[in-house]
Amino acid sequence: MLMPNLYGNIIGNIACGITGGPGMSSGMNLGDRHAVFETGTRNTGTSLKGQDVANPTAFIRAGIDMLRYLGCDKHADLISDALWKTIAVDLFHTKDIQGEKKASEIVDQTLRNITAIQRQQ
Amino acid sequence: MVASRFSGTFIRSLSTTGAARAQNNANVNQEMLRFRSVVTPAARKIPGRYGGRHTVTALAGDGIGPEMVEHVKSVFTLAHVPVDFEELNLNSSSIGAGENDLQEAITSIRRNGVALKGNVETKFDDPAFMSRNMELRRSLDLRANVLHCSTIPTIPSRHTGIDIIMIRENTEGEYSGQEHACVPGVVESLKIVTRERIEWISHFAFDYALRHNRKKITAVHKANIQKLGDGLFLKVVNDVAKLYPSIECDAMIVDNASMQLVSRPQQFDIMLMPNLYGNIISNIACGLVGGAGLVSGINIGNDYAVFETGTRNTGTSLVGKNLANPASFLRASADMCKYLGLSEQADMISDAVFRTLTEKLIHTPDIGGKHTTSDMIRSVQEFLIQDMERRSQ
Repeated sequence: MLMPNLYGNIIGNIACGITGGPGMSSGMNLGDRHAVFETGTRNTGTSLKGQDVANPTAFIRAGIDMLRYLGCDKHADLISDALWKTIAVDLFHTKDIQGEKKASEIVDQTLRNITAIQRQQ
Repeated sequence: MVASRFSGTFIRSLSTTGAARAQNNANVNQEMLRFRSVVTPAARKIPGRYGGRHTVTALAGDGIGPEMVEHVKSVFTLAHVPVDFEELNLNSSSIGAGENDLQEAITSIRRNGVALKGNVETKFDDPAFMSRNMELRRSLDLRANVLHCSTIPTIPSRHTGIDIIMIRENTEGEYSGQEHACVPGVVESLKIVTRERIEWISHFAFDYALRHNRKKITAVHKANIQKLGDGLFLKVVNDVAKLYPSIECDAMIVDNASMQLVSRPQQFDIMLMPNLYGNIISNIACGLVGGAGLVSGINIGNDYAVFETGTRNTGTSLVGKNLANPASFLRASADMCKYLGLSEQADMISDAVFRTLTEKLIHTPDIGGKHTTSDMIRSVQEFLIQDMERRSQ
């Protein structure tokens, strides 16, 4: 979907809403010379601060996007696959996606998955 | 002061009339009550009434509009609704004689006070062709667009428990039609926001909340970016909110509101929105409860009211196929009856449509079914006959 600014803002948020919410999607801001990576829906999540409950997926995926932009495809894939396994196979979900895991547990599990994948390679 | 226009003189509480009717009709349940029209009957005497009958303007428009108006007429005849239609042409093919058609329509609605309308397609490739619908709304000063989006049992939808009133500013904002290109390739568009109209729509929303026992109004805006335009909107809404301390009022930025609407729509009660955001968010909400074929829309101002479908589609691809969902048009006609003070007929029509959808499960393709428009109309007529027989006993 190709959209002007305002409609894109609204429609982007709708699409994020129906695919899991603000904690899941990442967003890229690209120009001819610079790139800035962030979460998809640009929320600050102020009410979740310091409680270890916020979903780190969106931010980690933003990091993955950044690695891909820098050309580090292997590392990007490694982290992306590990994160995917954490969420979709191990079913580690934070509160915003109806789970009970803490943010730190998601991260730790992803680190474990990274190590596991590296050992296989 | 605007507030005095709505206060006092006529507070019709929906719940008491509903309860009284419930005792008469053994089959009434909560869902069916919620499906009924939520229009407040008109406060003023409506001009087009003579000899106990109302004359209303019918603008069939493009696409399936003409077929739908015929269906409404047949249902009205059966239910003995004392309404006569003055049918006028207003559609996208009347370009040459365009201006005349529009003026005739406006004059007719001014004379009758009320209209039932299909959508007129706007050919957006010609900048000289002003949207007929928009012109109509502005000339008649139809300041509010109101939709009631609520979950209907048996209709496939993403969520349950939705019951939202969408109140949208209908005449200004991004739809002011003021655009210019100072330099080729660079276009400037003016979004007009006035204190007067925002005050009007805010009072409308809060008065509506009081009258229909609603608890919370959420104002949708983008004041973080449009600091003056939406800033004024937000300020005026908050100023008016102070006059209604019993109604809770909060604000949400439009992108967040959209996201919340698709993930947890049950949190919203009334949404109060400027023109463009209202357009988009109303359509999202309609989509959430089952689509364009089910929700009706009310355009209302101080003097006139125009009733139509909620999402203003022409349904051009369905013309002549007998597959379009007539529910939204029938509900629009029920809204119109309620506005005219024909409450019993309004409820009869709503209940017949509700039963057709939820008891007989007669669903047209847009809601995943295999039935035709005539199947639905036939069933509505059968339920109406049953209801009338029961009432006459």
